Amino acid sequence: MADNTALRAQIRAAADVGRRAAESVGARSTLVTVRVRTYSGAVGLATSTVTATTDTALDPRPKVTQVREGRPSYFGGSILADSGGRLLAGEYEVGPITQDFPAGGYTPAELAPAGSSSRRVTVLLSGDEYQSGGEEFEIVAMDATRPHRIMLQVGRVRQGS
Amino acid sequence: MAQLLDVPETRLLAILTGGRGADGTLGSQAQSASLAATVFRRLPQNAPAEESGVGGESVDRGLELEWADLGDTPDSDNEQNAVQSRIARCNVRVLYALGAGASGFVYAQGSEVAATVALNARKRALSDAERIRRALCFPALFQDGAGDSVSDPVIYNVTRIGRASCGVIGDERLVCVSAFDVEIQYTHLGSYNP
Repeated sequence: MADNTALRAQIRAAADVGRRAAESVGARSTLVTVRVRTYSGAVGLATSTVTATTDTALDPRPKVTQVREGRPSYFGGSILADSGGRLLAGEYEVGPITQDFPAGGYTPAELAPAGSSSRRVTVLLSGDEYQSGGEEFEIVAMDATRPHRIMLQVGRVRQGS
Repeated sequence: MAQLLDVPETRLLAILTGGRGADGTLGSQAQSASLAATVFRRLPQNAPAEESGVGGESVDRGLELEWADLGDTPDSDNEQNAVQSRIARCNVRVLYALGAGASGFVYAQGSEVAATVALNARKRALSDAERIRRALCFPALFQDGAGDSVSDPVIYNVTRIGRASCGVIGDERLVCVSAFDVEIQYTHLGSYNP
């Protein structure tokens, strides 16, 4: 039997409606943004500057859950650390995110664009859990094997450019 | 005010990441030993090389200066002498992308091909280690030049200690460590308060 892509797209669209409903009743307090910074040269060179920043806010807002308190890290931080707590790099699960369908959703490559020595990709989480302006994370795991959803796991990294 | 190792660190970084001497102003031999400013880059926020939170974009040829220890010279100074000599150990730790999956993050230079060098990270790292040694230990590069103000402390010798060595630290990363003894002289202990 052939794969039924049309039916899969319909179910993805229906799933997306349900996820949008959760957002519409205020149940998704975290804004998730995929941020891509392009530099004029290799990141970290004294002569390199950010030449472009592209933000993609995920629509609808996906569910975000803390999967573990995080690991001690040089790049740890957050509201807890600001109050004298430990420097932890928190880890969060982001999803379900609807897989790509004709009227919406996302492909794995859209959620995790290719990086390079002159291109930095982060996931910005903004909301009650995070410092003002949001905090930056990198994707440490992705599961796109399910037909209608993508799950991401992100870990805190250095903040800013 | 500056701490004791601020000025030496600034000079070492100028050699490693600032292209000191690459323009020929410190002489042709210094120029030959120098490193262009685009060869190495400091790890973000001077992060430790082992920190897994350093993103892939910053790894390849990203370096950390690790000040490891500080001690007296073999012949102890007269404590009342205004000029004191000390030796500080500085480990230069350079990261490299390792493995086919990391080739997209290779910071390729010259004729390097990312897909090839990612599979030969050890050879590349040790070759770079020799370039670092040549540059850091070349007197005209670490000494004050005609256009420099007098350094205090002043570096009067840099020596590689032991051999450069490589190790895999996971996440498709290789670290190459070269240890250097940086010999300095300072003249005004009271002025090195932070």
